[in-house]
Amino acid sequence: MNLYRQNILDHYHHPRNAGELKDVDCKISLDNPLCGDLIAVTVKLSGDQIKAIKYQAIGCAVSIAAMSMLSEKAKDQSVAEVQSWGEKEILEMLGIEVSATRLKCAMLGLRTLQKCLNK
Amino acid sequence: MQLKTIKTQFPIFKHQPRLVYLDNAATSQKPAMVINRIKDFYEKENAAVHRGIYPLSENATAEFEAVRDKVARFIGAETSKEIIFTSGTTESINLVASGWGRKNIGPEDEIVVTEMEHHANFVPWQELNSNLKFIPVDDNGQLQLDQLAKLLTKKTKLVALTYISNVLGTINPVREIINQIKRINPKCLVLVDGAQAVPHLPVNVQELGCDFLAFSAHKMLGPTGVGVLWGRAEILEAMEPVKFGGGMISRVERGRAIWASVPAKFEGGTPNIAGVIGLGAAIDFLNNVGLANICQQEAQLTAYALEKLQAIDGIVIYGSQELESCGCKCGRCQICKLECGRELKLCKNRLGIISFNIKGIHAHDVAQVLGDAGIAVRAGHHCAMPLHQQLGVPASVRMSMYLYNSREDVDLLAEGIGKVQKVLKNNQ
Repeated sequence: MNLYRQNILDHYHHPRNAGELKDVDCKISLDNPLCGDLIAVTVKLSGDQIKAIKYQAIGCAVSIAAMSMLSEKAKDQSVAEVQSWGEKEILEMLGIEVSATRLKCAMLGLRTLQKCLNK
Repeated sequence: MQLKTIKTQFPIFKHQPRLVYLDNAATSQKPAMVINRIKDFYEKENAAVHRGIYPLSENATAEFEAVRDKVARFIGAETSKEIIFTSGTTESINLVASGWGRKNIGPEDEIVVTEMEHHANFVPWQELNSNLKFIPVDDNGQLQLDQLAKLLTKKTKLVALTYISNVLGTINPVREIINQIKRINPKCLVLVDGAQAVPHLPVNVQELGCDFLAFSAHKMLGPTGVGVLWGRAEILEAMEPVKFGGGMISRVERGRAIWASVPAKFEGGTPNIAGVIGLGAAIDFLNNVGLANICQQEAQLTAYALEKLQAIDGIVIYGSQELESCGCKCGRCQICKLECGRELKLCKNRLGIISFNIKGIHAHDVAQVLGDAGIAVRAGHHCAMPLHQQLGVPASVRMSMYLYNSREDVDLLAEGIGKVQKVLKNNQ
């Protein structure tokens, strides 16, 4: 069972960059009503670059760990770069195999962040 | 038939020897008898029904119609023409909503459902009519029936309710509820969603006093893609067909068509012949074991599972948690229709299904860790989002049992939950 590898559990129990930023450039929340996961993201930009991300997340280990890792991965990246990411990047980042049913959980963070950056 | 013998008749457990299958409310496993019957039909007897004037087709028709008779006997229908084959419970309910509802439910009329309905017995009515009223569910997972008199009016055309909740396992006192409904408004029809009941306890439509009963073959050892709608003959006769084409007409002219009589009127197109024949084999299997025996064994296993789960630290169980002792005159024996003749510990008003959450751990994570340990349970809202809103959680973990499950399965589940807590609890 590699879905709950140590690094995933570590991010789940100690999510990095959790919280809410003030005076942000964009802010949005997205949920996955099928499982009740909810992520609210705030982002600060500097020009075209992501300067800071904070989020509040309720959900399963996969969705929270993915959001936590994503918040580290996306920092200092360009908006265009983050907008180009998809399933491949998230699965590489997680380093685990995710079944089709859990992929929605893994992707919620990225979908929320991308929607936030679209605004 | 002994439990051990029953399990050996399900090939899946030979191929998946470690499988602890506790997702029976979603679909049941299939015994060799059903699988072989379907294979035999395709290999030796395959032909279209109701058309061919050659022995193979005549035999297929006879076999197909014999299942209709078998289903009628199985649920105590007066005549087999009241049995309509559909693709499943969802299609059965949709058939009533479209064929009866569109004609009989006006914009001012009202429909009453319960808060514990599966989406299949909720969304079709929501689509039909916006005046939906809900029988509420209390904290103990029981319908608040004292509200019934207030909810039912002269405008109520239909009450649609489930016999057994697919989330809480609550056995609703359907017969008493229908009695009460008919006393208040004799013209109001009642549809019973029997998807979780017909596979697990003896159901007799005459005794229940309902007007429609819907259920699925695949939850009762039969194949997927087959379901049944039973309706009172006079109601079915007045109902409009919803699928138009071959097989459902008696005569077609250029400008008009005349419908066939029931049940053919509702069975347009070539039916799922092999599936229906598989359902016949499933009913034979269930009759061989005996529904009352299945019910009693499952009731005892439900009580065992409830006790076992209640002992787990940090578990939240939804619905009735009361254990009661059955004397021989108890309500449970009424349901099983079996004189047990001994004191059994049983779960009050609950059969076969227990939904729960583990504090601090998402239902999906619980189900995933259990799944990796070979234990199949369901996590999510189980197609009952309004009920989960009422429970105040987005998702729950559901274990659901059937005749091949044993105490050992329940023990493995409890052990597995221990493993879940070890993996996911934050000890750092």
